[in-house]
Amino acid sequence: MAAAADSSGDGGTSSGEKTIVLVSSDNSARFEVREAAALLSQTVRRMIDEAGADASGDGITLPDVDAKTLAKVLEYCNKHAPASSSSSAAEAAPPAEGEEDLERFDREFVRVDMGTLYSLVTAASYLKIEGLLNLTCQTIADMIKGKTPEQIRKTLGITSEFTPEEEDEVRRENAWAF
Amino acid sequence: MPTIQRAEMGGAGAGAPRRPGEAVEVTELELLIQLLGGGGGGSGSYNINDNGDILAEILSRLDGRSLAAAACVCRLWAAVARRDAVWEALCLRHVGPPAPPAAAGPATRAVVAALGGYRRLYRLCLGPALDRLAQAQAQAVRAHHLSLSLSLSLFSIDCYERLGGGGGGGPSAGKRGRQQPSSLLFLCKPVDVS
Repeated sequence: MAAAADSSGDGGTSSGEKTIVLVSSDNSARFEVREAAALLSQTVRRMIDEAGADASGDGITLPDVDAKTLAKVLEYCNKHAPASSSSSAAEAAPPAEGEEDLERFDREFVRVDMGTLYSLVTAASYLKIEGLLNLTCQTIADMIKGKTPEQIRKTLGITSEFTPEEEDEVRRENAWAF
Repeated sequence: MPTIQRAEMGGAGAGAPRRPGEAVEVTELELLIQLLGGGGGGSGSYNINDNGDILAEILSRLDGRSLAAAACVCRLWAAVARRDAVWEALCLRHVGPPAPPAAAGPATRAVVAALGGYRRLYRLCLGPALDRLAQAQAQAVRAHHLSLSLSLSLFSIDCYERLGGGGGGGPSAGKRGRQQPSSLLFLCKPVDVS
């Protein structure tokens, strides 16, 4: 995920594989990535399809993803990208890395602060990267599992604005599970 | 320990004045408008309550009990936990097709809607069935799947009978239906066949 200074967007790697330039929301960072990695994002895939052949001239700007998050997202994509990019669903092709290796990578990948984790969820949702969305959402879900409402609030820094009546009502509504 | 900056929930009270003791179901839109009034913060802070759809993605991956607990966390969580789509995701994880993405077809959704929605389906049928399976001694995964399918079928038939179907006739018959014992009543409790 090197930041290319003045890439024409149509550059290739030494092996000649096509690359795509992705630009962060504030235009502060440009990333040149393998096409196979970029196409893990259904949003990017759609943008390329819609824009046509000469789209990659200036790189693709992603208005909802800041530089720091985009860098991290691309770290994931590069790791999970299939060995070769084919025009049909890139996710169907097996990734270049071994499965155990990927699991270890994923575990380490989500060991970040909550702010970063939440940004990754949002980015994965916007970019429609299924694997990343699953990984990040499941990580947060695992933090919630098995906890009482009060413990959940504490873990995630949430204040409840329920009135006592509302709190009673909602607990009654969900009493079947406790 | 990661630094988590607490996002202040904007507006201590609800928008419209409420009579004491009245618990009103606040819509998600109202909640987001309230929250966006306050909250937010400097760089590095996050607000998990910024986006109801994102929250739904997260809550969709919980088990039934955790989801019920999540509903009690705050107003926005209660509203999102009421979305049937969240319970649909949970149900499909247990009885849906093995290959993701798990989404029910329109025909299935129509049937479940007639049964009262996925949340109700989980509360009355799948949840208790899963609890029973958890308590039973180690069963093969395949047997789990069959048990759940059977529970769903029985639940559907029971709903159908309560609606006065199966020869019950018109609306008056339906009203009487509740007082007549269901033909499936004997199956509602586990039967010891040892």
